[in-house]
Amino acid sequence: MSDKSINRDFFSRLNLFIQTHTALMAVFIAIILLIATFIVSPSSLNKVFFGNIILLTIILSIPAAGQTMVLIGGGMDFGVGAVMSATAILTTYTMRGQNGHFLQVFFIAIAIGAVVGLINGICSVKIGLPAMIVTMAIANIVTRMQYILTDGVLSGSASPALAATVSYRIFGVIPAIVMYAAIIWPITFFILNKSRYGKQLYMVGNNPTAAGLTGVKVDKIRIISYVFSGVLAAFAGILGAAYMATARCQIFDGYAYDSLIAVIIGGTTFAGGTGSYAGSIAGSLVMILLSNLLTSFNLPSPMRNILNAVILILLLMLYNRSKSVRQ
Amino acid sequence: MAIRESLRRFRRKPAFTGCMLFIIVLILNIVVQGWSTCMSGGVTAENIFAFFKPSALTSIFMSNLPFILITIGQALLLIVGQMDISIGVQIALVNVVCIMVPQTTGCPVWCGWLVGFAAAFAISAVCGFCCSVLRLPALLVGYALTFLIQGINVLIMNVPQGTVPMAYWKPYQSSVYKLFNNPPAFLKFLDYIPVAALVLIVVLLIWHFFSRRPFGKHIYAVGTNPRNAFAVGINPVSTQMKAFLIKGFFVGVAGICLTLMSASGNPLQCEEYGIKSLSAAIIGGMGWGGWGSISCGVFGGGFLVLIQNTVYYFFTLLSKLVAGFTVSSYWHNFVSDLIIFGGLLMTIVTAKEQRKTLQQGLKAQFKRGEKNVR
Amino acid sequence: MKKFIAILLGLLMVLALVACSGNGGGQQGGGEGQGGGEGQETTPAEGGGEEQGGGEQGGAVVDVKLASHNAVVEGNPYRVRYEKDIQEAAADAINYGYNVSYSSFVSNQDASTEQQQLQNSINEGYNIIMNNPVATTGLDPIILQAQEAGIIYINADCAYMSTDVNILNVVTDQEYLGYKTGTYAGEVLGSGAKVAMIAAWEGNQANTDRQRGFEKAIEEQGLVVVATGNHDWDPTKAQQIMAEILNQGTEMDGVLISQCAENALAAYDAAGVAYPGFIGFGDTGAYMQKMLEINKDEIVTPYIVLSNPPGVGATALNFALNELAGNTLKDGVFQPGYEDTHQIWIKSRVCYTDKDQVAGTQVEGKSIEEYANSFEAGDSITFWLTFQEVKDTYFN
Repeated sequence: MSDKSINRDFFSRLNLFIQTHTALMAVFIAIILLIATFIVSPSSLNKVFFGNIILLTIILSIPAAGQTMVLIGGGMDFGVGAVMSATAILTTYTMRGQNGHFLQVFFIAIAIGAVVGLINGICSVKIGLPAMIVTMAIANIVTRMQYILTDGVLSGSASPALAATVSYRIFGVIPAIVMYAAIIWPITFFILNKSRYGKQLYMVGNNPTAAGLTGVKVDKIRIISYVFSGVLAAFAGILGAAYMATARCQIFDGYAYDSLIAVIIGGTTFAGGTGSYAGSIAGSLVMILLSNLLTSFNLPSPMRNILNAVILILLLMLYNRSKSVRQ
Repeated sequence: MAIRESLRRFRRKPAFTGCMLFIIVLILNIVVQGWSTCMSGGVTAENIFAFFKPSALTSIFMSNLPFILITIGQALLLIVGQMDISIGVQIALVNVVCIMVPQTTGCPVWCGWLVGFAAAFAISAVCGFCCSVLRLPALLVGYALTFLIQGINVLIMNVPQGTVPMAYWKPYQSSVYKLFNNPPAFLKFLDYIPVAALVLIVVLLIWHFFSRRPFGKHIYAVGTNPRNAFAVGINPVSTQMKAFLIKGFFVGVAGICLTLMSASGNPLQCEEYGIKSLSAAIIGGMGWGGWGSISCGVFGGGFLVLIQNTVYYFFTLLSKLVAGFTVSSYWHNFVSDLIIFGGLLMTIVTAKEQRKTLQQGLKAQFKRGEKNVR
Repeated sequence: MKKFIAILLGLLMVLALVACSGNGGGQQGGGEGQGGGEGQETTPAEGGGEEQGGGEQGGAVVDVKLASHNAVVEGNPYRVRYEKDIQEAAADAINYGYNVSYSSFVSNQDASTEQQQLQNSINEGYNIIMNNPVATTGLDPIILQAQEAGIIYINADCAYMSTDVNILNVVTDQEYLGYKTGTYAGEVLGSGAKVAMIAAWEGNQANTDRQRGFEKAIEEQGLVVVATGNHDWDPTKAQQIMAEILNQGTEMDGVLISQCAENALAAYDAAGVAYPGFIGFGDTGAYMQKMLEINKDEIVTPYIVLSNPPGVGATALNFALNELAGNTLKDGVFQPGYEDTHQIWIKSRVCYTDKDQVAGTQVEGKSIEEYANSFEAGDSITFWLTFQEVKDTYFN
């Protein structure tokens, strides 16, 4: 065999490896970003850095869980940011810095998330409009309601107890939020990989017609994925409010795009049917590390934006390219 | 009979959805604006039709033409199965270039416009390259490019600044009648035609030329099923790139109109136009690839524009009807968004005819296929 | 089924439009003591609907229609306060013989909408049009049109930089805010101290002016900037940028930030890091209360409180009323260097530091604790000049 064919073989095998082990690739990218951060700013090797990165990754990984489910099912949920902001405001308004309201806040927030998720699901699935536009329109309405109900004024704050369960550093490094992750992550893994619902979700995303023919209730599965997304986003809003201590309208709107990109970088595709939560967690880590790395460059704002865009496109090029028509 | 037949044919066109919604909002707007003006100015024929007052018509056309043009561009991209949410900041790029090039190099204004067009084509080519050639997800490419273009905008122009000579923006902001120096009285009806409307008509005529060529059919083929189109010999990549470049032309015109409307430059404007134009196109009746037409974009854009105007006059009217009524601007925005959501849902009613058409077309394809097999 | 849902939702659209009238009426009454949650109703905290009612207070009362145009209100406590202060000033104007009716228009940072709304206001025949513009240029045509129609057009808060129109620009002295903060930081930390500089929105004129002040002070005091960022006046971003700067572990003596200081401190809280050696400036209730809490027993973190008063809009209204009254401006009121854009820079009135806290200085007639605690968390310090104060200081 000539050298050229060995090279070609190697590259095509490498390409195949990249395409099939997307979650691993995301972890690999995260490690590269981590090393780059330490090279650019050696003083980053400190416990504040690790604590913050873990905390923010976990907060992002929660709406990313819901987004993963929705994307696997073949939809898209743009309402994640609006629901997070809404429950964050609910948290600070109800708690007003006093302990003891957590259960009340928790149940109302979950209810809000479930209702919005249900509306999202029904409108995207039953009515047949593109999921992106519909969830965006509903997110707009949720956002406007935030303003009307609060009159645009921020007041109140999360209770100190709740803030401690999120930000307190165990051994001085690990933020207490890992306790929440220890509950939510395994549940998500179980739902996606082990439960019957998860298997049906993958089937629905892969080939809805075939899934329907085998007796899977396609619409119901999809709507449930939206409800999951709403509930998870609502819970993330509570934790986010505890992290920020105060909240204002539209505070977490950026999480709509952030969760989407994190999930895509983690290997899930818009077409549905593939993806894993491990990849989404790795994708969340990549997003947080990327933002941190860009800040450490100390660039003026326009240069930072341009660099952010270029890196994002490079990341997408790695393994998010759809199949060519020739294949 | 002929009328009923052509009406039924029209109902099957994709633009029917947008047209119906547009007409409903237009009537609502005329009524509310007229009523509101009558309340403060007294009931006269002029006030009842306050919507059609030349200054009001000109103002609404010339300030919203950039948005309508980019909705048209977005509709074109939707036909070929792509989308571009950075289209808003792209017109800001054209605006910034059109101002800074004459300002820093001293070349004449129209030179700056040519460079602006070149910038629009360049950035559309980049977007097309990422979406068609590299086949990256269009939504995220648009998101990334928004950052890129905003960064470039601020690098070119760091603070809002600049002017445009009056000789350029005065004609754009007036009606055809006012273009003449001493027009004869019988041409007064031209006062009701804003120059911006002429610009829109010219752009649509240019598109009409393109749509008559094979390209006009290819975009539908590529949008519906790129693989099948490739099998028939249509190159999806080149068709999509051409679509992006034509969209670049629309963006260029929109950017120049924006420059003439504001007579200045602002690097950080129009970001939200990207998503809004997408919503507007969908409300106008566009589908995701292969379904819809440019007129969907026109009607959808018009719908969104008139909604803003209607809500504004509606609340002004309410404050005149009910003494001491003031409502925070949060309600304005809430009602606008609720109506837009309602508009989206209404598309399914008006789309009933089209779904029938689609089903019939699909059935015909299968049936024909069977005949051949036998 | 689908058709049913669609018709139902069409009805919802119409109902929403109708329902707003009921809600609007409901909002009129219960507006008082919500500590800042009144939105934009006709009844400001102390006024009582004098705007739209009759001006029964004798003398020749002039009816004035005011259109207040704003680039953004949603999500921006500064702008919300700006609008409320204008309402208060409008109600106060009755004492000087003006019955001012107030209407607010928000363009959501969209230049097209702003143009259209201004055009509508001209057509509707308002007497005073006040604008807090989206961009610093671009409204020349419409301004000329308004002036031709005899309307008083005045620009507030964000300067309008065109030299081709003759309108008043009533703005806060932003350069002073940056300069004073940087100078005090230098006094506290000494030359050679390392600071983080977090600016606001790059591309915005107010930010550019403020940063000029910061940079001048930094140079004069010999401070060293070791970390930078932009928070775009977004509290979430402010906390995020501060957290990322903390992540880098760079040694810092103090933090210079262009408002949103309370969010920077939240980043310190969340990371469990000791507070910085200096922070400034901030102007909200949350910031003042936090600094009092941190420095309860002894001064842990020196700080400075400066006011970027949203009341600049209300002050601008009183300038416009003076113009309406036919008063002429004194000579030399324009800011040196900005005469061609007719800018009047209103200096910040409230300024106190940790030194004042220790010394027990009074602010606005109250002790610092009283003063700080009288604010809601999100409320910013504000003040505005009354009609008479403006007349005495700036007009003949």
